[in-house]
Amino acid sequence: MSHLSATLLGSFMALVIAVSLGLLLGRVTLEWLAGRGVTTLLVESRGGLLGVIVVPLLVAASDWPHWVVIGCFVGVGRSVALARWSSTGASEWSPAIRGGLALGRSGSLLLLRAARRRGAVVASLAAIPLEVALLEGCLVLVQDAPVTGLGALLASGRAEVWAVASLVLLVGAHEWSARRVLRGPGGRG
Amino acid sequence: MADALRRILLGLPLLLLGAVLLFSLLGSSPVTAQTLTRPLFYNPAPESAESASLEALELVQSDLSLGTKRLTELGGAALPYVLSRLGQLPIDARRRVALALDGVAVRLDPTFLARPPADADARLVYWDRYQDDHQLDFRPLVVARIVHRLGTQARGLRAADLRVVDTYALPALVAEIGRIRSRDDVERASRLTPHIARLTGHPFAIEGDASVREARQVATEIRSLWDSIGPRYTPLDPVARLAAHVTQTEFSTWLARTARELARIDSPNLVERLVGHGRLTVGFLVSALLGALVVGPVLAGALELLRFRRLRFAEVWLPRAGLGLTLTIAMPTLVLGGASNPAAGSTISALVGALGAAFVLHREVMDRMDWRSHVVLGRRRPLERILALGTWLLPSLPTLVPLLFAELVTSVLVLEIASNARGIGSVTLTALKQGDVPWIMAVCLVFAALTSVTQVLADAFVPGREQRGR
Repeated sequence: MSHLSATLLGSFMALVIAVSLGLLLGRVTLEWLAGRGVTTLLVESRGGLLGVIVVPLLVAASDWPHWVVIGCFVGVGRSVALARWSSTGASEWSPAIRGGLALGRSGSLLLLRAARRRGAVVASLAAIPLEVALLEGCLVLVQDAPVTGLGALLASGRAEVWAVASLVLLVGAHEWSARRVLRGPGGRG
Repeated sequence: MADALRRILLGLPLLLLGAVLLFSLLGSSPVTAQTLTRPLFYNPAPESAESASLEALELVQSDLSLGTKRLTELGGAALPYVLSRLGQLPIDARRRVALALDGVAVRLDPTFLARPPADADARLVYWDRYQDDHQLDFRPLVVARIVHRLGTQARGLRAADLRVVDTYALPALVAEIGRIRSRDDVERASRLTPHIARLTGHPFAIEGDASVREARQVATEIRSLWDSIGPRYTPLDPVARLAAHVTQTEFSTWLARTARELARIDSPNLVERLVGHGRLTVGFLVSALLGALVVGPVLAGALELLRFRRLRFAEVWLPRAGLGLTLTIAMPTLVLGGASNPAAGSTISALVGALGAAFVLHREVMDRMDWRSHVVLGRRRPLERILALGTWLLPSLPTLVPLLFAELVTSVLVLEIASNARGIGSVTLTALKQGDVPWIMAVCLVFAALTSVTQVLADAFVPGREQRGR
């Protein structure tokens, strides 16, 4: 597997997990349980499971390719961030949201979700490739076995312009995808 | 305050749960699993003096030399169980056991081999008499009393009493060492240590003029050895046997060691290592947090203010793409490239923290800028605009900081590993390669606790309405 495809697959997997699990967690926090207790618990758990330690252990313990492990780990971590941000109310709501709520539109709940901190959610999702690259680089430094990925290239000092450019494009693509996915009825894409 | 206290108390079971999860992960990794000899959380067949003795007794019947070796290692701790079962064995098996007990007899009486009994039957008579003479000595209370007196008074007579029961006294000897805080404790430990060294065959020694610290270090080594070999010398009553299913596991052993170290019963080796290597890591982490808390919001605000300059191109694309581009290029290349010295490491950490925070804050502000901009644009003076923007940016920080903290810890540790700096990251790398479970657990739990503290502190700035939800 090439370096680019390893990072690409890992990032994509992380994005899918983060969006699906994050939206689910956010919805659980918003609609089923009062308060931020669930996400507080998740953020604290996430603090103890350091990628530097957990990813090399998981790669050594499982037969899965490293990009799957990294993708899952980053995806779950980012889903916590997504849930946290989406359960944090924005300081103010846009006129469109307020208008929609005042009119009692049927999509009020969706509007409420749009009222949450979507910009931060997008940023959290956009930064996925960076964390993936960081963990790939970490694996290179920890393991003796060869590791593929753009981060692995950077860590081994063999990075070329195309590798950095690919990473930039990946972050851009993630931000674009996140904006598309999280486009709400009351806000912009 | 009450909420913070409640959160801290709730954090303890969370830490324990995290430790269990991490321990199972460590147990499944081939490198760390090599260093773990017992079951992780449940031991279906816990060891005791009785089980080890009976196992050795069976071994004697199948392989005399191996059985003799095993019985000699067990020493006096095996005698109550072996001698009480001798009568139930066939005469040939009894003779084999009598021969196999020669090693134990030498431990009890060094002159045994100078005038050994003539044959196996004579040895049986010897052990029969020994049992009659010393049956009362093999009682935990009796041994505990002898050991206590040995610890408090240096008398040759007590040492001779101890030789009669041999390794049967080991549990009491190790327990009697206790906590070492004063000269009296050092003297007590120095009187007990030679006996432990003789019985275990390990060269433990505390000199009379040893410092408290030195004595505590030796006591720690003894207890560490006892954690692994202790069960086979310890008689278990039914309740203790039931508990041993859980206590004789890797997780319980780790928990007990950590508790002893935190309670300052053992030498704080791990804590000292963490503090020693943590200085560099904390320095990097503080730089990263300062970058995230101070430079990040300023950068995000400054980029947003650029948009009011009414430059068409800069209005949308320059701040958005520029910040993303800088973060994407700077973060992985600088962190994975490493730093040549601590100052460069701190700068990189601060930069990563600042860019990470600015990226999130900037996206967050941009998302609602179209309808919120009039509030900022309504202010004429630059300072007023900055303040207006600040009141808009800052409420995001309590949510951002705990989330960013975990990511900053990862980047700081990777930076240390890439720089080969002697911080927590580099030691963790060695620990991962060598399967140093206590270090890995300590690092994870310390950072989990720090995240919890950060979370509690950050939540103190979240409005009550927001904390309650909705």
